[in-house]
Amino acid sequence: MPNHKVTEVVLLACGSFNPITNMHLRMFELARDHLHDTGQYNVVKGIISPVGDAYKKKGLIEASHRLEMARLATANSDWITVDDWESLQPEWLETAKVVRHHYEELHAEDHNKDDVDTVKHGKKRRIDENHSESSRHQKRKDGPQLMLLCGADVLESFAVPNLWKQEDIAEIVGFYGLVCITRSGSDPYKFIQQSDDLWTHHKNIHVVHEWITNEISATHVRRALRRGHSVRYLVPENVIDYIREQRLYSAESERKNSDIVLAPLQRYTRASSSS
Amino acid sequence: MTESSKTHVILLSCGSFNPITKGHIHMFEKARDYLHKTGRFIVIGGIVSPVHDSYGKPGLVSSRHRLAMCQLAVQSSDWIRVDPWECYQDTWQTTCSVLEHHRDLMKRVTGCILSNVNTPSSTPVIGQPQNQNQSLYQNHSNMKHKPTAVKVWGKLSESFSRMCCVRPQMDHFPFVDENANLGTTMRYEEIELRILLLCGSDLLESFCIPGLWKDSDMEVIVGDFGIVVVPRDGADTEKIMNHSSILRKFKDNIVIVKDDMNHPMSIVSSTKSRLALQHGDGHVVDYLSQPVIDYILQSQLYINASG
Repeated sequence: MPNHKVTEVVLLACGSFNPITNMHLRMFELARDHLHDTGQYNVVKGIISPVGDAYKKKGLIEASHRLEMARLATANSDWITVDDWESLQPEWLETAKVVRHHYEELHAEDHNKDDVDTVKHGKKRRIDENHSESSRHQKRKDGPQLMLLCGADVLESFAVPNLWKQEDIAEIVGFYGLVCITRSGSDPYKFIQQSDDLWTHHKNIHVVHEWITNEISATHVRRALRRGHSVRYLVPENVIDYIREQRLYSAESERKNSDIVLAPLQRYTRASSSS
Repeated sequence: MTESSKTHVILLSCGSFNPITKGHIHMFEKARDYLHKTGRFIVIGGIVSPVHDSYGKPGLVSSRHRLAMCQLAVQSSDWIRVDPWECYQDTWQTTCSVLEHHRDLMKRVTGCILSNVNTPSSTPVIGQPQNQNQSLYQNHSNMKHKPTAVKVWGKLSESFSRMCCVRPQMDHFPFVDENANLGTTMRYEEIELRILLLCGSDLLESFCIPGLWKDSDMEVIVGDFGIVVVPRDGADTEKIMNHSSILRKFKDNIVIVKDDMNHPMSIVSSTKSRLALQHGDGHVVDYLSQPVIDYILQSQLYINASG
């Protein structure tokens, strides 16, 4: 009899969550249904990781509020949680680093004695790939698989030359896994097929089609709030109450960071050292 | 544009890059510095887009080599990258279609670009997937696709070949989200992102030659997108602008980079580089970066006179 092993999965979603909306929550539900339907996965946990204030995006309100709204939104969920590690970091972090951190957290109990250098953790594992003692496969048996939950644009961005480090793509797609939520009209399968790197790991890329047309955008929610319009049924009730009590999302809050360059781009605005 | 919102810009440069020279890199750096100094722009990326092999210019080495050399030239840059899309298409692409391709791609991945930009990578571009096999690039002699003017004006700037631009169908995006935009500017949650064509004054000059460019194409390139011009070889850009009604019409979309006209980089060219290589002229080290020179020697490129 074939051994049908069901892999435990944790879904990680990164983003501003400014504010969290029903669309964000639906993404988790869709991803979980999809993975369960394959018969190979059991999603045991979902993690919402709001970006830190150091990201400096215009209109990004304090992480403390965004965290609290996300917690309120998931208060009734028995599997989705909110994590504040990323938001507590003093500097903005690349997605790959956040994924790595959460993976290590999940496997903290399983750490081998020699896996001390956490930054090179992924690389070390690849080097040791053929070594049965610390093989990737064996590692995963001991703990859940961490998958990055994202939109199809992330997948497509992998094909943009030099936007991501190749080793980060290989790590995210090869070692962790990707769950992409996509809408009708985009064709993520084409990107996967056209890329050798992605095709090698295509079993680790799960494309989930969103069958309900879901246009809820945090930008539009903020705009509606500024104008005093209702956002009921777009955002959970208790989040709406919190926004009202705390008087979040005014015209003033939207201007926050408007003169500041987005953190990942700050290095581009330093004077160049050309001849 | 309000005082508090700058335009985020990606500079796109199309050309033969046969080979890519220090002058090309200088062009990118000068353009970025200048745009930043105006206080209105933030340059978040530069794209080198070498032309497809079927462009057919005599002496054009294989795209495989040109891409590799471009990658070597930008490998230490943290903002300029090489895009092989043009080279991987079935046939050569017009400037319009390249701009539109990148705009459409940026539309879809703006969020990723703005939220997840990495430190520079030395990942070779030619490791990227190809849509078809290499053999497609060998059809250099397909002259019937080339506009007549190119054959006649062969000595002038390589950009002249774009004149027979047929505008491709605009893709229809069936949904609107926070990353969407329905024009040529992309907006990602209030961040405006534009793609500007970066070029030398020779391209600007080519706009003035009657009949060389279709008016509708110039309207797209200058009107919808915008150009950043780095003058070279002592060109008089004011005079050039005055000679074309389209350039005058869209002069607000044209940025002329004020640079030191006596800068040694302004006289560097791919043609001079090829000649220097053919004649064993040591000045080639002034024109090309060392990794590129090494590659050329190893691959035995540009040995014979051509073009």
